[in-house]
Amino acid sequence: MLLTPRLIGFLAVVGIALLVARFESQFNAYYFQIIIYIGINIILATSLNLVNGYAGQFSLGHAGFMAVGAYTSAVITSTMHLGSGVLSAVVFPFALAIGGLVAAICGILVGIPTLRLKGDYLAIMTLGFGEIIRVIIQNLGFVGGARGFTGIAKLTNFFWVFATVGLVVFMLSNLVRSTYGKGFLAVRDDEIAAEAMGINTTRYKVIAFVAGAFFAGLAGGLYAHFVTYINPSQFSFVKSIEMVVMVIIGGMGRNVGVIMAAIVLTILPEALRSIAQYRMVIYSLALVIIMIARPQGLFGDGRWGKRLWVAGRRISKRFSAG
Amino acid sequence: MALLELRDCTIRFGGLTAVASFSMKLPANGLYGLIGPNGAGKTTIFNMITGVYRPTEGEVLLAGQSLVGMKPYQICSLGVARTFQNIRLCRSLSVLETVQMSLVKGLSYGFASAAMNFGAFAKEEARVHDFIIETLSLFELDQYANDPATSLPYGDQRRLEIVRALASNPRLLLLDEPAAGTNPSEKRELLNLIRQVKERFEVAILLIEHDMSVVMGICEQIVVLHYGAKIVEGTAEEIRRNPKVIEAYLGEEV
Repeated sequence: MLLTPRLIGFLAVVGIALLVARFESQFNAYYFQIIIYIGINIILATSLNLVNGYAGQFSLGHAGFMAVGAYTSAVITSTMHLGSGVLSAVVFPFALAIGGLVAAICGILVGIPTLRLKGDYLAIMTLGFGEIIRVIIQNLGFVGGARGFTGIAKLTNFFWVFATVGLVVFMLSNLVRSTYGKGFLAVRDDEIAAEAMGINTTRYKVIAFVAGAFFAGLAGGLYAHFVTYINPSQFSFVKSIEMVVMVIIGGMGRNVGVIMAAIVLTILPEALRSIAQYRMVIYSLALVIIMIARPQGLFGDGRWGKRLWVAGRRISKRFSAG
Repeated sequence: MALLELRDCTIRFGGLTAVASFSMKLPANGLYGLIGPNGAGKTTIFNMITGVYRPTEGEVLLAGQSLVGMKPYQICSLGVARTFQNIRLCRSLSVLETVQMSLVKGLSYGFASAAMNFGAFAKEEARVHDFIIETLSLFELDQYANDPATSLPYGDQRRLEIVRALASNPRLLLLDEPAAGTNPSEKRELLNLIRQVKERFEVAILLIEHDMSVVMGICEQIVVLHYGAKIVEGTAEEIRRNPKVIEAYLGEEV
């Protein structure tokens, strides 16, 4: 393994997550909840960014995969009657991973037939899939059906959420930087050229879709074990749209921008709570304005970090010279 | 044995026969030209060879192996690379990344190594990077390595497409109107480039061209296509004098 800045960043995030998790009980519960939601939304948005942004396959079914992960992991921890012991700390990540895997399997089942379609058609197919998942869960008696799944152990804490965030961001940014990952960009930009240069475009699309589904499944598991009560309506297509908005506002195919957008768009509706009934109006208005002013995404080409760094160095040089 | 052989290839789109019973042979390390008026079916033949279209009838053989029914990416990994008539470079890729996309198929690591940066990853990425820079510098494109591919001047974009095709390590290189839109001096440069490519990379080249000076200048053998059918095949001299060719291009004598 290479000690890249990304690996160092990942280890730092995990370290901080461990540290903060120790003082978790001292946080204001309301702010703490928002922070957890930010983490979960970062996982959802960046994983959707792999599908919609990098691979260019417009999916509207991400909430479906999240639901699969949420219910699968919840069923596992509930049947094992996990409380808050040492055992649960060991089993919980496995439950999450299995939730992710089942979501990934759903991703394969949905992806292989639907990824032959392009653009609008694909969007509608994935939208339909997300709704199918929701309706199936609604009619599954053993997970509570439309009443919802209650009594899920509260196993999600700061550490699990942000260690997962670190891992997902680490993996996705490694992926898109690698030669392997250039395949996704080639598929998005020009499928015919990509195919002519030896890239199996169908395979790449399915891989993006399945990896996205896996991470969405992880996020679903974290969510379920945080709120302790889930019901199918939480995973409707409105949730998928929310994620798509984060990807578009952040800039399709820009991990840093999408992370920022996930943070901003999680905080914004909460920050606007004080103005009660105008909240969603202002939120929607903000989205419209952002799209008009910055159609390339709030954070543009993602090189703003580099520009900031260059500008900063120039200023510091001037000061040290003068 | 011929490297590429097309045997009685016919392709119909509905009622339209785009290519009719077309046959040709291209030896390994040969440099052949495919010419013909607009709409003669030249690019359609490329698309049949590369698997974009499936011939309605006939066989396409690469070193004796049939390519009919294979996907374009499979045909590419058997050693057929192409450029496009209207340049197809990826908008969001740099010059370096453009060449990188041709190397995806030969990678020795997979998804997990790419995501976690372990195993063969670092070594392989270093090899890929060195190979790209080396290849780009052969074509004097290395100084643009980090610029967006589509920001290059037109002639360089055409050259970059050739580099991208060569990076996939082909036995057969198909060039679709490489001289389109270039000025006379760029055209001369291009002729030299194509000759160099053929010698250095030991590939067979089949090129489509409108520009007679290009084709006549470098092709060992020229195939003339008219309304989807081959009307004549021969050396530049034979083609120049052939009355059928003159008729196809200039019309009948009055």
